[in-house]
Amino acid sequence: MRQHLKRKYSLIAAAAALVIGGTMVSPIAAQAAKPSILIWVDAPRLPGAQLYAKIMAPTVNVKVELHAQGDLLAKVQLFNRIKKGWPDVVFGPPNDVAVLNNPLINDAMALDSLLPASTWKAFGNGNNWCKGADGKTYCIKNDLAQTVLWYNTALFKQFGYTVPTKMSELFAIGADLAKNHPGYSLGALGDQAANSSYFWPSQCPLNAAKSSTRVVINSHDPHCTRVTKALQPLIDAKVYDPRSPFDAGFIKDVGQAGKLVANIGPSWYGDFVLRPASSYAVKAGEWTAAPMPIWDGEKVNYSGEYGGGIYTVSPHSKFPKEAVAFAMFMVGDKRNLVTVTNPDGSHGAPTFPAYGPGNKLWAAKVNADTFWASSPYPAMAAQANKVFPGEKPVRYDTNGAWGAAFSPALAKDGNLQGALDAYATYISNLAQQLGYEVSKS
Amino acid sequence: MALLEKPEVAPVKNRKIRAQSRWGLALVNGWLIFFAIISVIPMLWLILAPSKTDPQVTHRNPLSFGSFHGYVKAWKNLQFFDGGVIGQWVINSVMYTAAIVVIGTITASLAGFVISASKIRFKRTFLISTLIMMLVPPVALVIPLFVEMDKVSLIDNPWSVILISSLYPFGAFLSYIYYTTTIPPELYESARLDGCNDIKLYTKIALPLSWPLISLLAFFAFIGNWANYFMPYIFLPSSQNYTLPLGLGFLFYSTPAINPGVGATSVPILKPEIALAGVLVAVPIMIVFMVSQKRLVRGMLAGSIKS
Repeated sequence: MRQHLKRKYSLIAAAAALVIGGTMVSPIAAQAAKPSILIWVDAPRLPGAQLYAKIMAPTVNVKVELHAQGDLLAKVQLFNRIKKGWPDVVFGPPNDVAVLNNPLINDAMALDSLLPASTWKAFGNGNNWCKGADGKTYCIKNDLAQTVLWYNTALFKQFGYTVPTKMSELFAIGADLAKNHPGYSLGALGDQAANSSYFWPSQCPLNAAKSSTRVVINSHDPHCTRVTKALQPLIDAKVYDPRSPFDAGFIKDVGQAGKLVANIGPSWYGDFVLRPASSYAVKAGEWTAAPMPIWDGEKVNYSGEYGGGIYTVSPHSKFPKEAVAFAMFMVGDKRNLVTVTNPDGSHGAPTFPAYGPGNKLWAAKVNADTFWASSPYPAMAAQANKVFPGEKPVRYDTNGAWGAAFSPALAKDGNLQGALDAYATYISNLAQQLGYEVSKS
Repeated sequence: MALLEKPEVAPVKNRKIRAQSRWGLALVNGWLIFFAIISVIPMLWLILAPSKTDPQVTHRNPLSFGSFHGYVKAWKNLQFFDGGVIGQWVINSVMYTAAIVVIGTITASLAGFVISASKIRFKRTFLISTLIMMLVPPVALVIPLFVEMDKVSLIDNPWSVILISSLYPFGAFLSYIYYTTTIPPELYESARLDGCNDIKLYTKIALPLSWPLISLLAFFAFIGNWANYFMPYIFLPSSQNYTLPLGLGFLFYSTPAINPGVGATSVPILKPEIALAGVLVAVPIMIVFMVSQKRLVRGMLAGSIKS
């Protein structure tokens, strides 16, 4: 009897253990199966990323962290040392793709197989920047910062100008301003704006990476010298300013004084440089954008880029599909592109989405904005697939070099070719230090 | 005559000396005032900048005052950055610094006492290693410390910064100098004869006589760690764990206020907001310095004169 009871209790205990074990194990198993991703973004992308975390909460654990873009490399190197800690997906500046794809760093994975061909196709040329020398795609472009011609319609009307379609026409306007309307300006050149607005669209080979180990830098290429020759007389005539477009003096003397007639600048220039009260504070209803003027003898009116962030996914990520899904939410989902509320009360993504379908959603937002004389969107769209592809991502800080070498040289004596040569020397040294073979052709 | 002339020489000489010393004093005072102005003007600018709007900061007289509403607005705008994370940075700075000051001061005082007064072996080795630690720049230890903190799972945990920063070799050395020069060894000997062990020696003899030292240690620990950027930067990747100086650097980099290259942003952080964050970093140091000034001078001079 005692034996029987013992066996009975043993069976009950075993059954109870199974039940309890089962109930304990199943949620743990379910929890383990729920993917977790760590996202690093900058401040403007934060509202969208937080919204994504909220939306995905039932199926994916999404942790969003702000990061200072300049710190990424140092932190990834520390993570490489302890072999953990890498964020799954990172938003960063355009050159990050080359920096992270460096075999010594190894923190950018090829994404080709993670999205269908139709999605890649929908980017058009918008994602060309992310293609490595091996033909694989190592990032997803968040936004395009393609240059367009911003111009003041009221001043154009007052001075009797027509919108220039050729660079020579723009420079003729500059010459006329110097002669008949002194004090009026076509913008400032003293930082990377000179590159994105003039040298890059002119196909000047300054960071023309041919492979991960070879780059062409030639400030005396005819595509560069045609820029310096055309702009130098206008710098001397004070139509172009050697200061940075963000220089407080330039903002006060030209931007806020209503002396800016036209300005080649990126697609975000309107909302974030021309319009804000703390910046140029241009009047409502006066400004809009036109497509880039074409250089004489060229077939395509190319743009350059000033910015245009990217998403990279770590090869150490356990959930690369979920990481890519986040990037696609940011570039293609209406909830981020149009609806999400930003800290300043505005809605949607701040800049021109690189992904075609996402871009169409965003267009309505720009077209509905009555601040502009007419919608600048058609000009932005016209230039979206015309960013000159010769400029490539490189592992050195090209933008910092504009500030470190070009701007001081231009400010010193206003000699544009001299300043460009100083920049070329600076980046040639940087490139060689990082193992690039530098050539002039 | 000679007797009459003699006393006249001395006043002339004295007048000359007095005139010379007046000039010297004026020169010294002028020099000090010049440096005081150079130091005070940036501080004044920093305090006044948040009262203005961004264009006013650039275009108006640098030392002009905007309005009190400017401070409120700048503070409200700072709240827009990462859901008001700056409040968390203030709390973090206070908590981390308080912990470091308490732990660092206690351990440094104890270490200095042990090296100077106890009878343990290898005291000289401890002293030399303390001096060596003072010479090693923290940046040289980044990788080993990072790996070490990872091994104990303290990356992105405030304790990584607190524990590492509490290692206070300068404090230990200062304590050693203090205990060696201020408290006569005979006092320890007498106490030992009365049955005191090392712990009692410290708590009953050394500690009550070393409050000036303790204030000095706490002050230097506070100054060194309140503004510390490097350690939190390395060990605390999440912005929720940042300290104020680290957050200030982050604001600099992430907004177009100081870094116009950021360009497109929808976060209303401009120069007045950055200046207000700077005030939050600087003001506690000023307050601590002003409050502890007298005590510090007393502490620094302790033991220097016989009386």
